[in-house]
Amino acid sequence: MYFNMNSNSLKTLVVSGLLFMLAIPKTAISQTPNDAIMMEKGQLCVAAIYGHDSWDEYWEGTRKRSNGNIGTFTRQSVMGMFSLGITDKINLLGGLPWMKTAPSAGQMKGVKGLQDWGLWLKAKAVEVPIGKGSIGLYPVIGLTGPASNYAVDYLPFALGFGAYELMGRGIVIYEHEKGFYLRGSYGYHLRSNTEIERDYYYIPNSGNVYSSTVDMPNATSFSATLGAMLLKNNLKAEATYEGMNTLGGADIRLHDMPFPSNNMDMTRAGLNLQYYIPLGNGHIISVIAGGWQVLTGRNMGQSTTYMGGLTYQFGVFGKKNATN
Amino acid sequence: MKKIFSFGIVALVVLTVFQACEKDLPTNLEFSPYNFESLDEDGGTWKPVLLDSATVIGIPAPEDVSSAAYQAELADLKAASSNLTSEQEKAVAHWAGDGLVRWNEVARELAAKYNLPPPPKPDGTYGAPDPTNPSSIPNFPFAHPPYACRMFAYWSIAQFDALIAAWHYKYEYNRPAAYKTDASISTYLPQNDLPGYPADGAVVAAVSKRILSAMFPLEKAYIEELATEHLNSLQWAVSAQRATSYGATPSVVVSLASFSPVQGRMA
Repeated sequence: MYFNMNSNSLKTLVVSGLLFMLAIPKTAISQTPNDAIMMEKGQLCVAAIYGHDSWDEYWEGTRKRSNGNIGTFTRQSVMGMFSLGITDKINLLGGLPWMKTAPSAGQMKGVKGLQDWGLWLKAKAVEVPIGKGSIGLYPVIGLTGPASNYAVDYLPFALGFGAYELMGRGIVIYEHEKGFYLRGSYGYHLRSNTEIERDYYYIPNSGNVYSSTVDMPNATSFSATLGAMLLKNNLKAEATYEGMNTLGGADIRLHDMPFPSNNMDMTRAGLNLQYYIPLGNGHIISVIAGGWQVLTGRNMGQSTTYMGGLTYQFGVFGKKNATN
Repeated sequence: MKKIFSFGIVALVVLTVFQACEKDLPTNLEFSPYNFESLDEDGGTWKPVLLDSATVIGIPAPEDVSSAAYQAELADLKAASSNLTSEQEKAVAHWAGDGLVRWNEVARELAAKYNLPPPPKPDGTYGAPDPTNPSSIPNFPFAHPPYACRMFAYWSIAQFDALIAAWHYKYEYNRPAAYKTDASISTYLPQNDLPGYPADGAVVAAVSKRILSAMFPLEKAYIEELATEHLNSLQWAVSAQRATSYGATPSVVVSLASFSPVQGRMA
């Protein structure tokens, strides 16, 4: 980052990563470190985040509806994450969420358990000064996969898609010396097949499949963020508009169940805050809080998400003190 | 920068491997045409389920193989099976082996497609499917398991009875298959001694069309298209040149004489 807070930033990553994760069962966008903040070499930041998202309307294809057999859908999650500065320019990130889904009405039961682990490598490829600021380019590559043997063909309650996902993302950021920044990202999500709990299924407008294997469509994701460092660099505030677009897949038919390979799209807007508290011994604590609202969607719930958590940053090798 | 470059290379390799692992999923049963163990020559004497006997359905006697009409049919057959498009070749490979398997797949597809419960109306009540107006919401039918069972039962029984009737007339008229009367005709389908008239493949197509159209009225056009393709594929299968290009040495009870006038008439 342009400002003097390079090391603190795990939170951002946490924030943006996690958030996503909460929004969608196993989302394309999600779980992905989405910011342009790097940990310095030897710095480790760990985080614990609680997330809550709920919806009482969803899009069946492009038709918005409620469902008396779901009522209000709620998902709660607790996620552990870390970010480690392997070098000043390459960071390793990881995350593992536990979650619980539940309906408020009807005949279906929610499920709980570990969702998908995730590992990401983020690199600082380019940073060039421009006028009173700088432009940076950060490529990210990540892999996620199921962390438990959850039931896949049980949407919307299923914890995830049960598929492995390889994600590549480019992040571009313009940072002004006054402390505000603009960040954009675009990601591509390559998904493996997944296995469901039956050996025959029907895909609308396509036909029979005599297999328990489901071909999962790939997806893209984007985000645009306006952020600022306030209170002498101790508070970071961000407003984000972001979305995901599944490349292919069928719509949910009238009054049918969702299916893992449905064409799930959405956009949402969010705000998040992170407050840093240096402990004096070189360690840093931060408190994070955020919220998102899904604006448009397809084959997904119109969810409202809240999250809050703590991060703790300290040196594990190299320089022991953060530079904040 | 070097590290970042290698980072990119690794990413690319992983991506490629990731994608390469995915294969096409089976959308139907794959098989090569095969031989039945026997021709069931006495099939025409089996007891039908719904028909009183095989003779309840009348089939006109075919013209003699030396007649001009039959010779004209042979000429038509040869014309129809020459210069197939790749679409036609695909249809031959898809249908020719065993129409019963393919129609079973169609029935299963439609049962799955229509297994949708009525949605609630805005006032919270639920409508019912209306057979007299099948496209109203909810569509007719709601192919829940009892409906699907009924559909499969009707369809199976109708095929059984229709094939008994077909076998009766095959052995009553004993008209040889086209490849027996004209040595220049060969086929992708296996050859055997089953009389060619009436064509059992055509019987299966016709009876499947009739029953499935009744059970899934909104699918009439789709079923009609499939039945037509099935019937045509029986003619297209006749081609000496292509007998090898399909690979297998097929042999099936279905005989070749699908050009017979009985098409679409059974059931």
